[in-house]
Amino acid sequence: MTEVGSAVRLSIEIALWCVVLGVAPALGLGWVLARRKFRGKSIVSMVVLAPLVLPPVVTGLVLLDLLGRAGTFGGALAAIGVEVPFTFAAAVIAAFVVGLPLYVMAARSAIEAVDPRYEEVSWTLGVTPWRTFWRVALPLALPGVAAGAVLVFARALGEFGATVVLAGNVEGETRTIALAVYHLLDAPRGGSATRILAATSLALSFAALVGYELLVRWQRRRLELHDAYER
Amino acid sequence: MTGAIVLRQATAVLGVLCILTTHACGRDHRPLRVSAAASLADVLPPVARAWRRRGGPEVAFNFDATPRLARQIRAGAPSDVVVSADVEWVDTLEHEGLVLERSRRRLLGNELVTVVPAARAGAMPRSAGDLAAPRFARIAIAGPNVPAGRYARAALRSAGALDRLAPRFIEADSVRSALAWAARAEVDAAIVYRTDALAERRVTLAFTFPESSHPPIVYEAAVVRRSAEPEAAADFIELCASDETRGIFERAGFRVLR
Repeated sequence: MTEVGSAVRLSIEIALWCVVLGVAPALGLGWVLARRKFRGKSIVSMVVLAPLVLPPVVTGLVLLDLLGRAGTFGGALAAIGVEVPFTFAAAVIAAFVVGLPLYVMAARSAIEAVDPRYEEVSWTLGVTPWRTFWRVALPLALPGVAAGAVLVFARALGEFGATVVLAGNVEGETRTIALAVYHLLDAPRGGSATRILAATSLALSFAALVGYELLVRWQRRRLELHDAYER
Repeated sequence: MTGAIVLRQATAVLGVLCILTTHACGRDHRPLRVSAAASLADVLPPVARAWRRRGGPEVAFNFDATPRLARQIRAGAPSDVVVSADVEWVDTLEHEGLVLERSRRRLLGNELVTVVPAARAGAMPRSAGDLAAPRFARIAIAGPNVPAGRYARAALRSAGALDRLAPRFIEADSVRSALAWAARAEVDAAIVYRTDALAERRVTLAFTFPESSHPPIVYEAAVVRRSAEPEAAADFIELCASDETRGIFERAGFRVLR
């Protein structure tokens, strides 16, 4: 049973890390993609979205090629004593990379949904673009961004392919619910633990989806409210 | 004009239908389905070629860790032959009535070894005790239900090194995943079969565990009860046990059991 507990705790910890680590890149990339026009924008967009369509196992292999001991950056990291593969960090990185596109997409559409005239008015009043972003665009887009965060949380809970390649299957370190279920399937007497993990997983995912739905509604109401004031 | 558009649309629809149906219709002959332990992934395809030359049907392989093969067969996956990396799993399958008892055949033997990445320098470990050195911080080993993982744990236990080394284990899905990690130098050592060590150039065989330190490594084949082609399945097992294929197994480093 300790195995069940450690898998659930790990899954939640990893998912929370993904949510926290993703805030800055999601807002930054989301804003750039929503508001800026520049050469190569579609390339940036494609690179960001790639992990969404790549088989996660391939994403994991790319990450292992980059971060493994023999990898592009992994060699340099190993030289200073940092080894990523098969660690908790590896599990976070795998889930983060696979989930980030959802975060960025949610932030992008939330920011796009905010009428750019609010920001323009703010600028004409002499407020800096940076401050405008924090005081005008972000508060209006916040529920949408939060919905993205919930989606990333849920996706991180479900991550398997990239994790198994980059982070292996180390109990208490990288053996999340998904990995534990997969390996318990091979155990002759893994039945009850598997069922507990599957049920926990269902409950967590369902809770996350309910949260997502509520946040999306909140976002819609908030924008409708602002549009109503305008009239 | 509209005729041309309709024609183009019809062509597109036909194209999609062709793609969808080729898989279903392309094979009019059902292949012989062989579910085999991951460590046999290099030797069974040449056996299948010999089988084809004799006029046998095409062979479709499913290589995976033995417990996963057992689970698939239990769940009714289409399979004609199963080749396990140990006797226990075939016992389990027979006990559950999933394989034909009379078809069971012990085919091959193997040895358990430790490999290290060829790229890494440093003194070679010569025994399980040497693996306790701090530079073997990560040791890849197959999971506890996978035959290779069971043999490896037994061997380390009889060397008195299991408890000390267990925290350093990176548990692999199958023996071949453990081998792949060693080949990529992501781990400092891996416990695999001798035949795996011989098949992978990026690893160096460090030492062989004494035969007495673990249960004998025996590959056993059997015909799956639900097989639609039990005769062909039995013929395939027969071929694996014949002199015709002996060389294939011996070249790969297996011991041929008779």
